[in-house]
Amino acid sequence: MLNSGPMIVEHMRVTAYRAADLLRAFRYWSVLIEERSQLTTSVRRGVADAPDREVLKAALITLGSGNNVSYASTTDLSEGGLRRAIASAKSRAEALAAFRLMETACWPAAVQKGQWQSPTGAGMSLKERFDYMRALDAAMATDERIRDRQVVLTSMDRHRFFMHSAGAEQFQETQLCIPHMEATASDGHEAQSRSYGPYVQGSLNAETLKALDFTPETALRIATEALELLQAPECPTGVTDVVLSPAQMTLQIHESIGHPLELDRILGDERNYAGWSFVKQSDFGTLRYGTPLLNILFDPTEKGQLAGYAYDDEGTSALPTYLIQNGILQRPLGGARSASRAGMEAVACARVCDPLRQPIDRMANVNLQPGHSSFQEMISQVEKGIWMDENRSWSIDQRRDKFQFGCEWGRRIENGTLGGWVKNPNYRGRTLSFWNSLAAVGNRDTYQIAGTPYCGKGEPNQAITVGHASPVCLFRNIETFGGDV
Amino acid sequence: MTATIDDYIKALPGVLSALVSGNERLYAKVYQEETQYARLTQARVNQNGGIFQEQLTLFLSNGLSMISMSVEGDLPSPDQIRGLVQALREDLPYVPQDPWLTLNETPEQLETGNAHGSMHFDALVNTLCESAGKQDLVGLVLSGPQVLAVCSSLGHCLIHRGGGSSIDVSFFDADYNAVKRVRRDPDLADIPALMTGMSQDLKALQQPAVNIKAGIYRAWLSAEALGELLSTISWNGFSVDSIRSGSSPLNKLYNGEKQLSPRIHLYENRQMGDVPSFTSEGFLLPAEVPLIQDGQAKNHLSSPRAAKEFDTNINSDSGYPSALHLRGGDLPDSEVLQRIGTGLYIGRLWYTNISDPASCRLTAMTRYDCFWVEGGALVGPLSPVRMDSSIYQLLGEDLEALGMHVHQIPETQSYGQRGWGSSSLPGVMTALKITL
Repeated sequence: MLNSGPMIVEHMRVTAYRAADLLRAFRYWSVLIEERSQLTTSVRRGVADAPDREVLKAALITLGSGNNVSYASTTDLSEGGLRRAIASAKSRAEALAAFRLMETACWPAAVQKGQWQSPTGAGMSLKERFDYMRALDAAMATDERIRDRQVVLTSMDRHRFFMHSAGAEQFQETQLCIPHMEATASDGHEAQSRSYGPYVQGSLNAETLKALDFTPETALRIATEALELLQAPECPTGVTDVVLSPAQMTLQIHESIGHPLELDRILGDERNYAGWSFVKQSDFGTLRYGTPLLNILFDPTEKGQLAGYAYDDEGTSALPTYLIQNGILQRPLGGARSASRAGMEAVACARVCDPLRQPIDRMANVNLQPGHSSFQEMISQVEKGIWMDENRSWSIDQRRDKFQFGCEWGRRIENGTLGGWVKNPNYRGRTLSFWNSLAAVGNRDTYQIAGTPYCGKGEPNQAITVGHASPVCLFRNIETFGGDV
Repeated sequence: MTATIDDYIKALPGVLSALVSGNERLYAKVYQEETQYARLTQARVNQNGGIFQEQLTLFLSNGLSMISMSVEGDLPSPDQIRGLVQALREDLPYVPQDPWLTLNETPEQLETGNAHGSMHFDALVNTLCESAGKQDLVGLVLSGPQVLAVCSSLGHCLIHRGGGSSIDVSFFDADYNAVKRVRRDPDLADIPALMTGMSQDLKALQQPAVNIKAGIYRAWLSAEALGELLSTISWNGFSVDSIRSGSSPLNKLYNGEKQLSPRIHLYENRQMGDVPSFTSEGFLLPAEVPLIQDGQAKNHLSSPRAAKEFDTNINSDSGYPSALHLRGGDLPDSEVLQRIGTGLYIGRLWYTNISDPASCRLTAMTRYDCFWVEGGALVGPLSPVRMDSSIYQLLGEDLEALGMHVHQIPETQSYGQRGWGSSSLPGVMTALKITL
């Protein structure tokens, strides 16, 4: 039984069927209806900002006419609004048919029927939210050098109904819990920040937040750490071993594995904006991406991670799929449309941020599988190195090769032991040589899930949720450096 | 459609004023866009679509408490607005007081910008594909009107219109050489010449790539490359909250510890940038705010709420600049290569981030038309390299010259909705630290 109940399912079905009835004259069509409610509350420097509720409804119509396909997005879900959207898509498809990239017959046909639901539950009242946030804010106010404190709670409940002319009929409900807190310490000369944002699928309530350690204890810890960083020396410059936390591994996986494996990038669709990829179609099945310790799984079916679902937004059913196995590149992240163009097998990754944008290849949950090393075993293998945690800065070239990433904080590792703190830790490298320097992968005890709600890509631009999970990992001989002294 | 949305907006102050009582204030923000788009790959239409988007955001306050609700869908009728206001009213007692809440009690009226239709979208797309010939054309065409309005129960009615057509396109070759052009409201008749010019520029890149070692090089940063760096600093560089909390990367500029070259005069110029010049709280914004003058910090940007918290003047909607203007210098574009002598011509930078906030050190990768220059002549395209330099060096000690010509750089972002306006920047002759 879906938490949203039969009322919403029925209500959305009526709208989708209304659109479908208007589309019956076309041989190829699909319709995606979304209804979403969202609430964002924040407390900054002890003061609550106005709560922001959003109630959003939109439809994405896809139809073929004149042997070409066009999309039409609309927030007007009345019959008149849907008619106008369909008329504009028909007119545009025919007017641009002479220069189409793909004939209608090559577009994906979805047949699966089903329902899916993320973890769900009751939320918090406004009063409960503000009480919870004030407690966190107060816990960070430990010292006059804590010059900025911020707590933000965002909850979202999203329903999507998808129909396709080939027969698909899919309903999915997703709840998101997006908590974030940050403390900034400043001595007047420089500032150091520590943050914490455990983003997951599910209901935003006190129970979930406590299970995520989104607590006053964590708030106190990050404020204390921000103060400690003010006193810390700069991260040393040199070539050294690096041990990365799951939070930083999230960024590393995202930028240097997830994005370069997106098939639409490999096909060149994103070259004008988000960029190309160094990966070629001929690399799949043969390219040694990393050491044999590297196993990357694409898994939208992992409930609780930020980008879980049963069907993507073209209606393809989701299945766990290895992208990299024992270090060898296996499969791209290509939805049905891209896979059809490339002559490759699809995975369910064609996604929209909302129905006002068209489906493009996306990551969903892309996870690095745990290995066998305990945290202590990894640290003990390092004669000289740096532990780094929580991403702060990220930059990579448009083909996803040369990167430079920075973290909020680090610690020296000397002779197998964690030592003192360092500030402004940065490292840089090149994608393949970096993953081929992977020397140890942490066990499940070190494994954590994370992700971001704001992965940007596409023209027109889209920001979307992606989930990542990783254990702690050890890399050898990495170029590290700190801030300017 | 424009007449309908205009009627809706102009009736709103009356609708809102009928729904409040006592100390209540009711503000509404309306956004509408009707955009057509075409994504091009290999000079073919890869994906195309239309976006009809309407959103109404209501802000209800009573004393120092406020709550807001955005509704996307059909724009609500007066009766539906009454229902939404009642829902907000029921929540309001649970919202803590906000001592920094600031609303403009003086009703203002303003209409700026121009409504643009999508007169020749199909023809524009087809002409681009046809004129590209055998070139690998990739990019985005957008076309259509957009409008933003703020109305209130006090009588505010502030409207900005924009939109129009834009092309943001590149040519690529198999060796990853590429050139890019962005044009706002292009004339159809000019498209073939634009494509021909891009072909010629791509040919200039089709030489053996030059690999350079890490080090410091004299470099010309085009207006687009400089714009990429300044947009990253803009995240939290100029807002009064960031500056007072010490987290602005320009903290040392604002506390007087550092300064830029005296030739740097940077403004937030909403008038020149053609962006909305009002806030959601009904305040009108100045046409121009000097941010840096003679290389020294002059003003920060303060939203209404931040202005009250930090006791400053309101001069921004959000604290983020949206229309930067850097005053030009004396170096003609035609003399740039000669002035470089031996060094780098950087057409565009990409994926900039702050690698050391305290020193405002920025890292980015080269992209598109970047060249190695020797003896005042282009030698060949630069293999992609990473820069990692402090803004205090780039626009401070290492700044040799500012370009004479100030380029209009249209905003191309479309997250959530189409961006507005443009920035106005010259190129700069400076030195870059190359690291990888």
